[in-house]
Amino acid sequence: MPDLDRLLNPHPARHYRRTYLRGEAAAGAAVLLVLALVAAWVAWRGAHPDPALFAPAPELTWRGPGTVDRGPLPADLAPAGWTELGLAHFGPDDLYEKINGREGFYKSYGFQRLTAVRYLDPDDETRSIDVEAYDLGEAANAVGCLSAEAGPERPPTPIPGGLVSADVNARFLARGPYYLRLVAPDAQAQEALDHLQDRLVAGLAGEELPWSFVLFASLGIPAERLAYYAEDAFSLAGATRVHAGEVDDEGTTLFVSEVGEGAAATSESWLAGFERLGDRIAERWVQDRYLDRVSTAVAAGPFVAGVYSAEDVAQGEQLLQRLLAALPGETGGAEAAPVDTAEVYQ
Amino acid sequence: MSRERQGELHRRGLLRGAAAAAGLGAAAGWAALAPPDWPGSLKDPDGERGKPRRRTLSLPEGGYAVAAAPVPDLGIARGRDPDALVRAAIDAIGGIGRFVQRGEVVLVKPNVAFDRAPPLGATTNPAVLAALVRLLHDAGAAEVRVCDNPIESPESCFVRSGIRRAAVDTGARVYLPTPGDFEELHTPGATWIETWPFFWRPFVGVDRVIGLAPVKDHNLCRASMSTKNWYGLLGGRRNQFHQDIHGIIADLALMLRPTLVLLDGTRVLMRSGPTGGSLSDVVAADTVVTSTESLAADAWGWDELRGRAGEARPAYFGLAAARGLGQPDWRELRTEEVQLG
Repeated sequence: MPDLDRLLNPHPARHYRRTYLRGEAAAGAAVLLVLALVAAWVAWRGAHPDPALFAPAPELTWRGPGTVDRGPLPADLAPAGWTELGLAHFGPDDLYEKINGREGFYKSYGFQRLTAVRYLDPDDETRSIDVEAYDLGEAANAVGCLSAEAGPERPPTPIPGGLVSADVNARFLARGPYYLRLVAPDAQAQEALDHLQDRLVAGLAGEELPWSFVLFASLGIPAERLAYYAEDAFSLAGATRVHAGEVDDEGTTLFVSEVGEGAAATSESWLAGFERLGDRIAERWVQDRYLDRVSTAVAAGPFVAGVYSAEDVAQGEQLLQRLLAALPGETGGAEAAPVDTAEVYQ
Repeated sequence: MSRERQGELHRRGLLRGAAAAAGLGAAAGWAALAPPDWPGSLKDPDGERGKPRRRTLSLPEGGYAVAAAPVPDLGIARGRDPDALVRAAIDAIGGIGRFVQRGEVVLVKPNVAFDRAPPLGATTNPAVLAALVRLLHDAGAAEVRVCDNPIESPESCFVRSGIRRAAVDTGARVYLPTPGDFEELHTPGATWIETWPFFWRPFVGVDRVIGLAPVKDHNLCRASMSTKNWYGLLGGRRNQFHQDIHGIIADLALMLRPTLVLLDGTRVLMRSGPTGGSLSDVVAADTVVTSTESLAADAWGWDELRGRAGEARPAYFGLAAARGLGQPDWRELRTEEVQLG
């Protein structure tokens, strides 16, 4: 019978052998030797580290302020004494993290990238100015965006190479493809706002205002009544890149879009769009069945031009003829005829 | 004798041990190999059972609403002093004692959505929040909590909007969201948020919930007021709801039945909402509206504070009313207006 005391050993620490084999002793010694070698290697390696660990890492090296991605913002933008912080960028996929609920507005004007930064008041760090630079891809989008955000209280004013709209606490600029918002909490930061505006105007290349400014100026429509719709003008699907000028306070609006060869078909589709909410009352005029106003769209060379929400056909026809007569010649093309708009809007 | 006895005990122990080992082996084999739907099975062939599961919670049935009372449905107070405005507007619909009892824990949900200074009208007026918290403490509230889940940095939003200072100075406790504060909330019947992450931590142990929303233009839903304010309790990728903004607002009306809502019409952001930026877009309306029905308060705000009476209301009014979640036709309700000063 086997010794159960050995099978279920109640004394595991007890020695049952007085001696060990040479082979067992040699194996144990070999294991100890290997462990000693490993320990020695670790100690030696610790005393002689790989020099590459201490070599400069280019991706971690401070390369000076000139290498920071500031988007379109000049490096010396900060007003004297104000502290810059929070430089950040947002693209189409994360714009909502900055302006949740309004990102669609900027995207409708070709939004590509937002660069945002904040300046803290040296005298009161609870006050600050936010600077937001929206890259909208092209100048027409920036002008259109500014025109849409600027209300009657702060109409946009042309400046060389762009537009500006000023409020007691803020400045809004269209400069090249950029729509710039400078927002202070109150009216006490005029000097800093002036500085920021001057630096941005000096640091960002301006562009001529869209040709429609000249066109509508020749018709007596002031800059604050102009608008540019990158898409869905007058809620018409497919009505893109539309320049518009509001004639009166009743909403009567002239509009024009440079379409190219498809102008005739486009004008027909816009007219059909008006008919979805109205009835045809003349060959090319549609009366809105809810607003009781009339609208039309016609092709004129590469343009689709028209009148939206006129009082009646007689008024609309008169405005339409004036608009058609003022359109740039077909051979010259509107885009090919830049005009000094700042001179027009003195 | 002693050795034999000792050997006999060892044999029994061996048998017991063997039996226990066999039992454990059989149980382990069952747990590991039995089909997943058999009792005691731990089999997880596709790894689904091993995933961590978040618990799903529900708000109390009936929400945090108080019983109906023979008092006006809408209270409207006009004036300059925030304390007097808040008190008068609440008095008009029964007084603070109707809504808060001594010892209760009250949660106040302002709109702190943006990193904007108070005068720009994109967030709740901190002076109105402070007035409300003082009134709640006067009514005997054991604790007043203030919470919101802004999209931008919560710390920055609470500081720049002045909400943190107003809450702390009046003895309220501010809850800023962290990822661990959200739980899955079950809202039966909701279209978009039947089960959705919800800012739950501030709701633990709460007796009353009060909304305190500003009135402002909104690029998508045309106006952001009391009902839209609950959007700030959602977590997750909530920006996707912008595809159906009116649908989600109608869901919010279903999700939370508050004790009371206050519409902060002291400043109204009339354009460029919901972010704003220009002081000329802000109108000082010096008004506070109160109701137990957020839809009624919103309708009054749309007509009278946004000045859009006669225009079609945003679609969420119709969607929420069709679910029986309120009466947007406030002219059918009892109103009491108070002019102060």
